[in-house]
Amino acid sequence: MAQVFMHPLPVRVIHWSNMLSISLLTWSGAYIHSPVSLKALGSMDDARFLHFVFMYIVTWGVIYRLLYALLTGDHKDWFFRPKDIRDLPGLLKYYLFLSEHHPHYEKYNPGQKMLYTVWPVLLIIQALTGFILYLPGQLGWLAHILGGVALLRKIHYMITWVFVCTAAVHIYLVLLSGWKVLRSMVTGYIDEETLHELQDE
Amino acid sequence: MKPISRRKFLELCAASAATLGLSQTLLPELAEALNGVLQKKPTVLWIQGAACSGCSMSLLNSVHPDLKALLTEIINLRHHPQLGGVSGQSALEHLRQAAEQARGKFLLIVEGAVPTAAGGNYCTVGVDAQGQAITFQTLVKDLAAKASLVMAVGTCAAYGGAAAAKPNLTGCKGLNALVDAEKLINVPGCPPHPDWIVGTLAHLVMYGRPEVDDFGRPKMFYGGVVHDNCPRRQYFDNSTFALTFGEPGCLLEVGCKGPMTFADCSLRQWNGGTNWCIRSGSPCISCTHPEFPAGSLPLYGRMERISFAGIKVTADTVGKLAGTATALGIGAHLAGNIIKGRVGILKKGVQRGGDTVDKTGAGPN
Repeated sequence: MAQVFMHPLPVRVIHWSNMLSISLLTWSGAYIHSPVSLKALGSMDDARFLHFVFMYIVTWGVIYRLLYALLTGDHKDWFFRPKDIRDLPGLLKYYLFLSEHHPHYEKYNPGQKMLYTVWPVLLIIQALTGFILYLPGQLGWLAHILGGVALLRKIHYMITWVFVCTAAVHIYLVLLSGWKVLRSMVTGYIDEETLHELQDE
Repeated sequence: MKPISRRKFLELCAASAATLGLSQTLLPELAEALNGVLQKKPTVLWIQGAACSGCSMSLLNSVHPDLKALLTEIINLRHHPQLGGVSGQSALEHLRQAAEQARGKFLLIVEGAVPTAAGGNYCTVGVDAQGQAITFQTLVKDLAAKASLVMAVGTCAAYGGAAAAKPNLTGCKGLNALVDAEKLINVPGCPPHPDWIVGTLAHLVMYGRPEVDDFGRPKMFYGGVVHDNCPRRQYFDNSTFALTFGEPGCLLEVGCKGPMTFADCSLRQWNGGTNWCIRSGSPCISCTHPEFPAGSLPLYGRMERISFAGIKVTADTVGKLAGTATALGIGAHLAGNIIKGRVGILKKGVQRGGDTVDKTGAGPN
């Protein structure tokens, strides 16, 4: 069966690095937010250690992924542009069972593009608010301009919920498409038949 | 080794006392040294606006040096609304004269915020020669222009503080909105520790302007985070949290704002080193913070509720609702997909030819 190359190695590595980082950051962050009701980790010390290690890894993940997009131009595949709005109704009709037809798109459908565009933006906001909370002395002036640490903490916390919800949708839709799609994010390849089926059913 | 004089030694001690927060033991020596160093004591004018006088009361609690030593040996306090003997129009006249005599050389201390709404008429200090009310705003601007330096004592004077809290009908502002940052030193706190006031004064007199942080606070007093030197820090690291007042443990869950507070309370302690908020079981409310009190709310909780369309809910409620909605949405969608036979995992090898194809919703193919 003919194989189509979907995801280059750097993209796959960064994808799984981000997946691991965001999962652990959410986990440790939830503990830091509520150490009493959520006994998911041993101590605040452990939780903060985990959080501070993976905050650096995810920050580098975002930087390298955006650099990769800049150098290879692969953002053309996933960056949501205003013209993609036209493609949304067709996809929504399919998802809401109003239509049996899945419209044909390029590499990603407009829903995926929206998610993949919003995530880096949210990650940058998380990194910004996170580093301000991490370095209150050095970045105190910035916290003050942006409305104070109390507000930034709230933003940081609420965006985490956006990640939890959108990541759940992402995982659900991948599993819905079949394990071959999941495998393609590991091996980089997907067979032609599955790809056509996904794009044109 | 280079020999140093006694005076030089005392100067060094005073400088390190300020830096290391050891002023309780060394400040009497500092006062002695100052007495020798200063040929002429600097003129200090202290005025009060939208204030509760708490900062002045805190100053009265100064232990080493005590208030008497401060007033007779370190500074020449020419005007203070409460400590002064005169009152009314003669006090105002006296203040004006003192400012003219020491023009360009005196130190202005402002306690309390400056009301700016309604042309500043919410706070007036007396009448001028024409019988017109003099607003506190005008007085501050007037005296600040003539002073060599302005010291904002208390969070209200520095950043607006409690006086500028919502709804702030009087338009209260801190001095940062009215005086050049170059000319201003902030000594926030609600109230500020007497050592912070006296220490900053002593530094100004002996060495000039102290090094300040981004919010104009002397780094020697406001350089560290309360949380970092908290005697209950080990409780935090080990996740032992007090859930009610009086319990042993870190006070984070009962609203401690120590992690965002820059002050040396944990080292210096209050009332002459007797005790301080956290040691007596009360959470830090971050009273030295530029956003105090709004930024410290809720005082006895961790995160303020979110106001949305008139409804107040906790951030946790919003998050859990969003999570539940997502889970329900995915569940419903999955059910729909199973009915429709769209589930990829289940349709391995099944050909789906001859379906009714709806072209109406088709995107560009």
